[in-house]
Amino acid sequence: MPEPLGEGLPAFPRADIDTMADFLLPHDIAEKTFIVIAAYNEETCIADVVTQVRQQFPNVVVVDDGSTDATYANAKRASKYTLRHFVNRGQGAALQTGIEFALDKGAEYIVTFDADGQHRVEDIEHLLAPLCRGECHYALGSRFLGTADGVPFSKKMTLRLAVLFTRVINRVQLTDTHNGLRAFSRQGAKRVQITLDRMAHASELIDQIRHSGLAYTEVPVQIRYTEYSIEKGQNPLGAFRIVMQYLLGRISR
Amino acid sequence: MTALAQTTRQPLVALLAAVLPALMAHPATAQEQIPSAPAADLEASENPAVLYTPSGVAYWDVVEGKGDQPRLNTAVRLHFRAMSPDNTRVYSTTEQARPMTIVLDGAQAAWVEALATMKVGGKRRIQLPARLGPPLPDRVGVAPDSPLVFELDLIEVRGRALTGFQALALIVLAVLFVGSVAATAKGWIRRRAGIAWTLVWAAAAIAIVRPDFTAVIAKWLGIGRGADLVLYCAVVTMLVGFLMVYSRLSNLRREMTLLVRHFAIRDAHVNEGPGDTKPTRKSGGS
Repeated sequence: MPEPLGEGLPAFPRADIDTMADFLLPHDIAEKTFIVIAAYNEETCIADVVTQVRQQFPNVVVVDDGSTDATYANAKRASKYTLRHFVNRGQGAALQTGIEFALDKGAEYIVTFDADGQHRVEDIEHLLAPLCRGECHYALGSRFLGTADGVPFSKKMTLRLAVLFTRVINRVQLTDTHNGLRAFSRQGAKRVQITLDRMAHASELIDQIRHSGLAYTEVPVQIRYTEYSIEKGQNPLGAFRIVMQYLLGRISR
Repeated sequence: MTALAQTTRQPLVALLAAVLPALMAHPATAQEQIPSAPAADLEASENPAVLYTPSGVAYWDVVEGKGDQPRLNTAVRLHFRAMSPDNTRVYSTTEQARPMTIVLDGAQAAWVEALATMKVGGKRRIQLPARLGPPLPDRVGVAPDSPLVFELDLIEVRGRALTGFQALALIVLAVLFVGSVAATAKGWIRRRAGIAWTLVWAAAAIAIVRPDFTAVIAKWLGIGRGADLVLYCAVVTMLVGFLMVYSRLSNLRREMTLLVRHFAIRDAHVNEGPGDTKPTRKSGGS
């Protein structure tokens, strides 16, 4: 795995579909792919995000995780499938609900996507590419493989720590462990079962990916840090709570 | 000091000379200094079998008892005689033909220490200043510091005297014990838990009735006091219990998520809106 970049180094060549001549996504990829978006109180941007995604991938599954605002109503108008947790269970649970629903509907590929507009729709194709080639069953987006614009310093440090934590605890070499943009093949999706409801599901997911025995890869993606998304992000204290919840989860099983 | 005692024929002065400096060296301590060396011409010095209690009371057995030994919280009946050093009898409980009863409750006077290691039927003599020995009636009129030899005659060891707390606790524990046995037998609670609880109640009952029970085990483990041992066990148990509760709570949360998920999927909203030109697919098999 390439090492994460420091400041001022040239960008790693991105697996941009335009520059890869030897690859094309299958023409019916859009039919077979389901995009799962877990949303909690995202009434302002959910409709925009869904509309953007829907232009390329019509099978969008929005899971409203017990929002207290108009997220569900807004999503219902734009998204093909809208599900609602009547109480808040956490992002991990919402993603698992969306994944199960998509599998029920016969999805061949499942991509998880953030609801706050941090992710780019173009990156979905980049994630699907290795899956379609049959190289692996999991494609994990990494912001440290590509260029990340405007990453706040504290967030960067927290993420680096998370990567270190994952290397030690999960024994997996990843450059970005808490990236919501991930692609699963059908087989890969069936192998994972997110049980830690709250934010610790990322570590749990990586655990399960490793245990599944199926191949996984990291794909560079670009994250847009808008003011809005930064406000909503994790603070360092939250990271500590996540770690504790994850460790306790492992003990009590 | 010793030379003085040998030359004078007044053991009272001799003993006072031995005792007073010791007493004055610790004027304010609650623990009294027991005169440890018997004066030369007391009966003690002629007897090679003189022993000393941990606090330094000299004692020797005239007759060794063969019966029960008193224990903590037992009531003990004894006769005693008090004799002044020249062997004149000062007082005896047999004068009233009524033996003395005391309960060994752990807050021992010095003379009780010597009593505690006797057996029923034994006669033991101890040597103490008058005020440190068994209580004498006022009319005897002996100076509080005068050395006396007390002969303790252990008659009987009565059954345990339970304090109010112990009695109440025993009743509660008996109920809990029977309850947990019944619950285990009837399968209301899991076998392992039921056996564990039964043992806990039994151990608690033993520890309350026999407080030295925990002390014995604690000493064997190298812990200072029995109460400390109980405290450590309680802390460990509570930590384990906490982890078990947390685990149960996690399971509960997971089950609730499954429930919420079921309804979310069941009531999914499907939007065949504009932009969707493909015909709806029948949901295929997994």
